[in-house]
Amino acid sequence: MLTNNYIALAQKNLVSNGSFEDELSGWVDYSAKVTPYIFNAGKMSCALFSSDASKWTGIHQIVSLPKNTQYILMTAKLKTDAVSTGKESWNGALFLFETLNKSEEKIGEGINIASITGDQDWKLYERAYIIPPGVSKIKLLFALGYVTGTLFIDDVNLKVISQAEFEKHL
Amino acid sequence: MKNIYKLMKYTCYGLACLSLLFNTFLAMGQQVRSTTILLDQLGYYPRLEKSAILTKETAANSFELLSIPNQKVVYSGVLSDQKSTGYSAIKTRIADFSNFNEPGDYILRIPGIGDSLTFRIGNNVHQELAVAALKGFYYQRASFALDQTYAGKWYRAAGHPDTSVYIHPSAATKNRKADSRINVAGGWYDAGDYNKYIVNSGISTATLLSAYEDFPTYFQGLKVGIPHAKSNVPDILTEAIYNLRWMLKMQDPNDGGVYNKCTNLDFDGMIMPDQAIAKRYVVAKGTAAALNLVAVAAQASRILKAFPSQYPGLADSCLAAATHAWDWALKNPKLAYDQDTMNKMSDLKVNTGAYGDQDFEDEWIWASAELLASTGQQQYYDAFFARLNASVNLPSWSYVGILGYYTLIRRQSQLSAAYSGMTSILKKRIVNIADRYVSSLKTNAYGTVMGSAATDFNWGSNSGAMNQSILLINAYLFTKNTAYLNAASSNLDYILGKNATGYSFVTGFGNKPPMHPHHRLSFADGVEEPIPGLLVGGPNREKQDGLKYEHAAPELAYLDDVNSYASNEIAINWNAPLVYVVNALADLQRTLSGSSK
Repeated sequence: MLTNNYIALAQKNLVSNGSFEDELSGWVDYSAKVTPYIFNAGKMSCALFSSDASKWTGIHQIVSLPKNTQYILMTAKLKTDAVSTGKESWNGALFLFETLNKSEEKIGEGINIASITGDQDWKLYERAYIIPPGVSKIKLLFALGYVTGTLFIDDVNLKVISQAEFEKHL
Repeated sequence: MKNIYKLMKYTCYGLACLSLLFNTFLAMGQQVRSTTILLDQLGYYPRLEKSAILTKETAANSFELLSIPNQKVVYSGVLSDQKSTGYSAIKTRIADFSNFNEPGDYILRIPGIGDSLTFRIGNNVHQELAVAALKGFYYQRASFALDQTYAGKWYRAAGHPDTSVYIHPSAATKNRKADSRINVAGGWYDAGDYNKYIVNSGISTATLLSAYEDFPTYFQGLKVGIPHAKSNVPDILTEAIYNLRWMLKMQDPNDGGVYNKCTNLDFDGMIMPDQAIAKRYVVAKGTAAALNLVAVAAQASRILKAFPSQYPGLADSCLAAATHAWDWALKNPKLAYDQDTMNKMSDLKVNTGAYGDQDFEDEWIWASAELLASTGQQQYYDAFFARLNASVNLPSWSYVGILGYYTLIRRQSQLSAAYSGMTSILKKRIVNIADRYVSSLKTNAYGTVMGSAATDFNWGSNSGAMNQSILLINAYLFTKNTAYLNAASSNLDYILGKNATGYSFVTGFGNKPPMHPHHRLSFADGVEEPIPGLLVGGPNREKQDGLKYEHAAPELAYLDDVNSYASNEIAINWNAPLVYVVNALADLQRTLSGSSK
């Protein structure tokens, strides 16, 4: 049973509506749009646009992890158009995550997976991660962090993986 | 050879003498010794890779090995294409004679360039160094008279008894008020100075303990000639325990916290230790100090369990000290040692080394790994696993996380199945770094891992080289891939002369060793030769000592000058990896079979 459950979990994308086919359902957004004109797969993607470099423009989703999860893989396809450089080196089109406890309190600092500036065609970004004791949820965030331009997001995925799969990403 | 070096060195012999030597060489049919053929001055192991470097341009494309004394050509080879470092103007060519394995004495001859120094191929080429590097710690003992029987001409009176050391205001507590006194006798002097620092003692002691854990049979047979050795206790443990006992004294038994250092307010002058009588203080407890004691005491506890009659109760005392310090650290998880801030709050300003670490995640990794290995308890596994996402780097006093990796891999078979599974992650990370080193070795202009980038030449660069080798040896131990062993050996060759400076960086060893290390004991003892077996810092492109260096190239930024603390100091955390590498290779090369290629 454990094995069957594991296989089921390992195959499942724990992100709700990661391909934005159901518009922004499942995501908390701050002025995001979906677009049928530019996408990596399916018929839609999410687009973040900002013309104000003093603002954080983004979306996020909190993903609950199955009990005793030890290894996860987070992936997303990203495309950027004319993303400016910000005042800080980390400013840009961002894909990051935070670890949360049961009460959705943040544990530690956010961890960056991608920080992009300029123009870039669709590209896969991924991060394998070991779930520390006490972490129950992952908050996935996409943002234009204090820059202008457009960020397209598609195929967001978070899945439980085995240790062997995790080691392939080292 | 040392005599020839000295002969060359003293200008009183002058040009006339050199001319005479030159003519004599020619008359004997020999070529002039070239200072541009650089090699391991102590020699090479038969079954490991062997190469020399040439730093002078030549039209020649071949080289020969000649046996000594009969000067018969025993091997011919082809010089590599010209190589460039990418960070300096120096061009090199490499003479690789790995395929020649016959023990004996040889010179390497390059047409139009000349002959190398005489060097040896043999199974014991580094044995004297292996002994001396460990004995270097005996010479660093504080609060201890060095008897002529053991210390030879470097015997000396005891200094810094440290039996009545003041509590600095930064370390004062309800139970130990400022200006009260405690006994923190013993331990090793840290470096060229006479102070004792827990943070740097931690990695140094642990490296010796790890050398023993990795090669216990070998070290049972290694005698270095130190006093107070107990029956069946290897000398490496005797020496490590000398410092361990001091580290234990640096713990406040009232709360488990650990003082950062035992120190003067200012560095002593260049005098012998018995003449240095400045007041001594223990200064400020801190998280790094506590976790260093946790790691070392936890590691020592499992090793000392095998020596109950020689050290009754010490294993238990170590484990108790480790868990007490762990509990203190849990309550004080981020207490940094900030000397500048501390000095603003006290009239007793401390101006000695700070070892001020700000990031303790690596200390938590190391400490939790050692306690997990020694106790098997879940809480330490959780603490380790919680930090398994952290990246790992080469160890130094301020970055110790990977020491925990080494330990858990070494102890994998003793861990429960629930814990041992994750060691494959640790191995993968170490192999990733080792593979990078092997890859850089293939392109490096010096045929070594060390010096692949200009940033390798930092303060204590030689210890970086030795820690690279330790990582490679650890990778070899669990993969048995000899490429890692050869890469590790290449860095030892670097240390012993196969480098741009042509120095062997260990005092007393090689044809061109440091004669003027920044080391009070060697400077003030009235003996011409420095204490042997000590690894100096090595080329340091940052040159923080402000001295005038002859060369701008990073790999040449070295001065054999007593004032060059940035490139020519010695330190316990630099000698410890030398001890590990020299002895590990001496042991492992015997187990290899066949050709080095």
